[in-house]
Amino acid sequence: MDASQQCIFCQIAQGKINAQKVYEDADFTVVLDINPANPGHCLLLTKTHYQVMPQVPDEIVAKMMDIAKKISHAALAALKAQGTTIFVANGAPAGQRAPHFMLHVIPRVAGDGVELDIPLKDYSLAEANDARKKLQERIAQVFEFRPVMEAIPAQQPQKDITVVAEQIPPRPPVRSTMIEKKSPETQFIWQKQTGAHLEIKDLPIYDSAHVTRFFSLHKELIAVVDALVKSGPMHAIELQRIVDFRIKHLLALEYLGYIRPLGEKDPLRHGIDSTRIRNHPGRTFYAATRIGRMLLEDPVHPPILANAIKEKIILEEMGSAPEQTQAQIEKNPSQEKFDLDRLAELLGGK
Amino acid sequence: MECTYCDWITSKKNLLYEDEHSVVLINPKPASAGHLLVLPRKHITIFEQLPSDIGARLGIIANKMSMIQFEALGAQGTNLVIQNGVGAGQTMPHLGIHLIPRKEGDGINLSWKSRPLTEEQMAAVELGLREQLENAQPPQPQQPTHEQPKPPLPPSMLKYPERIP
Repeated sequence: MDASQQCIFCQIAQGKINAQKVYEDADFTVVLDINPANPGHCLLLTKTHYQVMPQVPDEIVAKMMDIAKKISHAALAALKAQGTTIFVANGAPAGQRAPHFMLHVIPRVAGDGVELDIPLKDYSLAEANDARKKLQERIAQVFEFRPVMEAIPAQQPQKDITVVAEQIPPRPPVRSTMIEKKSPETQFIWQKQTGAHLEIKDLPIYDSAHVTRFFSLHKELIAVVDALVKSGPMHAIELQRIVDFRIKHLLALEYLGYIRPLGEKDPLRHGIDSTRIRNHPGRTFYAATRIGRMLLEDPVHPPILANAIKEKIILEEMGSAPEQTQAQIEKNPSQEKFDLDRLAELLGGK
Repeated sequence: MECTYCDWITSKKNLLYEDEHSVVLINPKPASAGHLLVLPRKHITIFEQLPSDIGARLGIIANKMSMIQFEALGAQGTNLVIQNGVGAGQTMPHLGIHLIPRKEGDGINLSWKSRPLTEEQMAAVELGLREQLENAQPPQPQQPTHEQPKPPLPPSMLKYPERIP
């Protein structure tokens, strides 16, 4: 009784202080916040004094959800809001300002500047798993419930990537049949485009030096690698798998003129700094350029790639190929039309 | 219908608790360690579509989970947030109650700047909301017929019209 006499929100809820009430029943009063985040910002107050939500009995919580729903609906209808944020803060560290439990219903419009979006933070796996374990134990006590899926992701791989990498048996150096099968004509185009007379069939395709070299040959891919460096870590093995899978797509893209070699000068000197990739902490590589990214998003049926190819073919048929390709065609008059069979072969024998 | 949360509910991924109507998942993209999601098992997109009984259950579970966050994680506070609608920042097409354990100085800022309105604006808002609350009822999803009929409204709810000042 003492607390409720001192608490201003109790007095508002019980009608001892005037406020702009929009709803009232035996347990709750809903008033407009006098310092609203947005017009129509409502406070749902309990008539009984509770400091935080965990003190509120179940039946009151159940009713409260129903009333919050009604208020939210009324806000959407009456104020033409595009959404509502339902917000509760328990405890001062969570942003609670008054010692009385209240539920905020804030009408929202996209771009209204109310900073109530839930931030995402990077927490270590260990910390997340620790929290999960503790919660699980407590839930098991309170609800006598244990989820069927007990599997908590192991922490080891996160701790020492190199150890795990060594445990994985090395893959046999499969040679790209595609490159070996390459016709003399394609080989010629390749050499012409790269400007470096690489003997590709002599290089094992899984060699990281080759991959680096491959990336170093293309401006687009360099941009992709740079973008990937910013986007987040990826295990070297994973990258190798992706590169392995995509080299044929890249070759096809190059064949179509969507990616270009860097220039006449030695690409290894003037291209990307290969040691930067190779010596990256944890032997991680990072993902892709614009092209690389779209390839990453759909590894099996890259729709953008497919569309690009279609577009290219249509353009070819209509006689209005992109400038860059036009220039290439001028350089190589023998390549006026793309050989669809070869393209199919490059893309994996479809 | 593709819904990540529905997938997780069926595959029991990230699951911590489930019952007939509600599911509690641990958020794999947390705002802080121990960030929980309380979801209806049924695919419900916005708060207004939530049937009262499920809503009540979700509220109770969310409250209990919030208590568990205090006890198990030693949280100094918790936030309960429902992002209802794209305008409110909802990113998933499945309604979820976010429970975020908080600690002093954790760097999470969930607050707003107040935008005081004039008395007239406040009065207009009040009137609009009150009219809506008195006249319009939120759309109630049709209850399957085999379910038990709803209990009559408690007397406190029946009294409500006279109690409006």
